[in-house]
This record gives sequence, structure tokens and C-alpha cells, in this order.
Amino acid sequence: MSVRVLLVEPHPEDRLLLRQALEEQGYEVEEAADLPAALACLEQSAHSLVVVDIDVPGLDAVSFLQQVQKRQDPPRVLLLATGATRQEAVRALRFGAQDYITKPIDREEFIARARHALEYKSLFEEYQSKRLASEALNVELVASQQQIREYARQFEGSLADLSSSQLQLIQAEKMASLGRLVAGVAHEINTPIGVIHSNQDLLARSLAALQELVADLTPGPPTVKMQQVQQVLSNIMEVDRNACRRIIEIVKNLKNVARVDEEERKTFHVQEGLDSTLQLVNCEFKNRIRIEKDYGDVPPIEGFPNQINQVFLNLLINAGQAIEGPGVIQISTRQQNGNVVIRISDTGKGIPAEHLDKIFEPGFTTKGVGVGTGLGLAITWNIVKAHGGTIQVESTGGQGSVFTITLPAR
Amino acid sequence: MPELGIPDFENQAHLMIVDDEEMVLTSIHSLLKLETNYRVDRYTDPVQALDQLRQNSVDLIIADYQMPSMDGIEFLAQVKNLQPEVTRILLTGYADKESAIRAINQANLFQYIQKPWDNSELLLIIRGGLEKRFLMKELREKISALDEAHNGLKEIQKRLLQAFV
Repeated sequence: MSVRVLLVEPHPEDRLLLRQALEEQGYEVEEAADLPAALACLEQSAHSLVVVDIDVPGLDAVSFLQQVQKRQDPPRVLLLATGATRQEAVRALRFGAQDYITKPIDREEFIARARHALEYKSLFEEYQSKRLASEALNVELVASQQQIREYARQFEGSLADLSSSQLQLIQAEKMASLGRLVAGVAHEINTPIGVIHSNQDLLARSLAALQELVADLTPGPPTVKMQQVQQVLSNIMEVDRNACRRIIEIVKNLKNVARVDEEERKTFHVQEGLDSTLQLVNCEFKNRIRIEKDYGDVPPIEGFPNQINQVFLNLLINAGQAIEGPGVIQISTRQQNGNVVIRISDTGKGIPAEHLDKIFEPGFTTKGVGVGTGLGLAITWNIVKAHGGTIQVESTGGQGSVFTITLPAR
Repeated sequence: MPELGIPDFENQAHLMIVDDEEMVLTSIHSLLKLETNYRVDRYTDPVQALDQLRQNSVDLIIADYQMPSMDGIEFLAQVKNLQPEVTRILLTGYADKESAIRAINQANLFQYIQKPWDNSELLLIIRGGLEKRFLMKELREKISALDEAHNGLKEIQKRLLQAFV
């Protein structure tokens, strides 16, 4: 490709000299003797280099440079100055002129400067095209970055779905295996405890019969020793009878909390579940925690009683663990806008504000290793959600927590 | 007219208890020994109990629901075929309640008793079952006596008619 140079030079001798010098280098030269001609040439064709004499009448170096730079693919500009216009030339450098050369012109110097300006232009062009390429690349990069971000968001979504279904699976599996275990244990205990319970009664009957027989054999009032033995026997039998009743009650409640024979939806009252669950946790609370029940007249709800009992169990155990030393757990039930609202509040150590929005997340726990799985409240939340309800927590650090469960009435 | 009264079965009632758990047998047997004069046979295996029932009749059977070789409902259903008039009682665990209620129709049970049972209640149920059994027995005897008398009367009537005609 040939190199086109525009030469703007009012002095014919200089013009000739410069033209020859340029043509010797193999450049194609276009000439303009005044400003209008120069501007017309610029307008008509593209140039790689403009050599312009600042002495061209009417020319202002800075505004000329601005004209040149407006062009697409602007040529480099080499200024010719005299001693008088040297200052202007220097100033023009700041406005994008490539270089300047002072008259009288040294041929060799001129050629060197012109070649230098052209080299600079080709370098600049190369730079420009590379810059464009890298800009295009950058655009692509940004686009793929956006795509990656979109993928990441999709992954996050499916990850959340996965972990929630995993949680549901764990919950279902846990409930099923807990149910099987509890039902199995309860069933195994039931027969021997039934026998012991029956034999307690049988012992009492036998003792009464024996006393009669002894009385028949030894007339007169019983001896002191005899009375003592009878007292001991009836005392321990009474204790055993009570112990037995308690075991029977526990077995019954175990079956209530994890009834495996009850998989279909049922209509039931939450109070029954609360009472059964309370009996279970009672031994853990003993005399340490006072339970205050305030049951309102609430309609039944529909769903899975064993799951709802699991919710109560989780919340009551948490409440019990939150209370260090003596404390109170209050349980109330109310009817509100077609819902059953159950509030379980404790006087425990409370939940720090920064944990409140995390406690229902699976895996979140503040309990030590082996104490909490971090699943209890997540399971609780899932069960309540599955029943079309909501669960909320309010807590003030050091002053206990309140869990409010709202379930739609049947 | 023959009269129906509460029969005295105290010294003639014959019971059978079937449970794979020896301790249950011992406990119920001990209760009955202390409180009644019933004769009580005990079996831990329902198959053996059925063999026995093919030869000798009993008045009342108590069977456990969950047994390894045969469940109580099936056992009592077979008892029903062998001896339809025996009073049948099922002993069930707490969780088996619903199946027990269904089984009442299937094996035509007199009652079911939940484990753990109450001795006084158990005694009452057994007494009631025996009462029913002996009333039925007596009723049957009286009916057949009536039938006999009726047939005798018919015979006499026939002879009278023959004598007159």
C-alpha cells in the first residue's frame, strides 16, 4: 500500500524541495499551497502524513490540528516552523502534532522526521487495532462472565432445591426409623410390663388371702413383727404399682409421639399432642422447669399428628436446653382468624439477634458437637410449612424466646 | 316350662390360654388359680393348641395376637371351625387395637383385651364369656329337651289318633 503525504507549503521553492525529498522515499505526494486547498485535499482523500508549514496564510496550527483529528483514521502531522513560529509549533505538539522542524530545512533531518512520524503512525495503528481487538475480547469476557454468573445462580438454586429435598428425605427417614425403633421398643416392653403390672395386683390379692389364712391359723391380734412385715409388703407393693403405671404411661406416650401405624391425614387437636409430648419431656425437666399451660378453646387441625408432635418435641427440648437452672415454659393455644396459634415461650438465655434469621437453616447449630445436629428447627420449619402454617421466633438475649406456630384450622 | 338361670360353671369351666410368652401364661394362670376354680390349659404354640382342640372341647379360649407360628386371629378363626360354641377372646398389644377390632368380625370374637390388662377386668370378661357359653349350652340342652318332649308328644298324639280312628 502506498503512503500518501499531503504537503501544505505556500513557498514554491520549499514545496519543490520537500516534494522531491518525499518522493525519493517512494511516498505519493499531494500538494496544497493554501489553507482552503489543504482542507479540500483532507476532505477528499486519506493521508498518512500531513506536512504543514505554519506560515500558510490564515492557518492556525491548533485549529488545523483539530480539523485533522476529526477525520477518521487521522494522519500524523509534521509542522514546519520558522524561528518566529517555533513557539506556536511547540504549543501545537500538545494538541496532537507529531513533530516539528524549523526552517531552513535540512533535507536529511526532514526525511528522518517524516519517516519517524510515519512509523509512529503505523505503530499507532497497530496499537489501535490491538486495542479494538482487546476491547472486543473484553466485551466477550464480560458476556461470558455474566453467563457464568447466571450459571452460578442456577446452580445455587438447584443446590438449594437439592439440600431442601435432602433435608426432607433425612426428615422422612429419621421419622420413619425413629418411629420403627420406638414402636419396636414399646412393643417389646409392653408384654413384660403388662405381666409385671398384672402380677402386682396378683401379689396384693395373694397377700390378702395369706393374711386371712394366717389369721385363721393364729387367733388373736397379730404380733408387732407381723404388722411390720405386712406394712413393708403393702408399702413396697404400692411403690411398685406406681412405678409400673408410670412405665405403662411412658410406653403409651412413646407410641403417641411416633405412631407408625398412622400415616394418613387426620383431624386432631393440638392440645393432645402437646400433652403427650410434655409427658415425654417431663422427666428431663423434673422440678427444674415449671410448665404453665394456657389452652384456649381451639378448633381441630388437619394433618399428621406424629409430625406435629415432633415439632412440639423439638421446641420443648430446645426451650428446656435454653433454660439454665430453674425456669418457666409457657404454652398457650388460641384461635385467630381461622388459624390455631400455638405459642411456646421460655425464660431461657434467648437467641442472639445475629442468629435469629439463621436458626431455621439446615445445619445451623450453636450447640456443641454431639448435642445438636442443626436439623431440629429446620425439620420443624419444614413440617409446619408442609401443614400450610408458619413459625416465627422472637427473642431478646438473656430474656428467653417465644416461638409462635400458626396452623390453619380445619 | 324349663327355666333358664345363671348356670353354675365355677367348678366345671374349662379354659385354654395360648401365648408364646410363658410369663403371660403364668401370670393369667396364677390369677385364675387364686380367684377361681376353673380348669386351665396353657399353650405357647397355637398349632399344639389346635391339636388338643381336635380331641377335647373347652369353654373359653384366650389367645395372644402376635405369635410367631400363627397369629391370634387366624388361630381363633380355626378354633371357630373346630368348636363354634367356644367363647373366643383376643389379647392384643396397644398398637394392634384397630386390627383387633377388625378381627372381632373375622373370627367372631367375644372380646379383645389390651395389654397391659387389668386383672379385675380380665376376670369379669372371662366370667362374662363363660356365662354366655354355659347359657348357650344350657339353652341348647333345653331346646333339645323341648324337641324331645315335642317329639314324644307328637308320638302320643299319633298313637291317640290311631287309637280313636
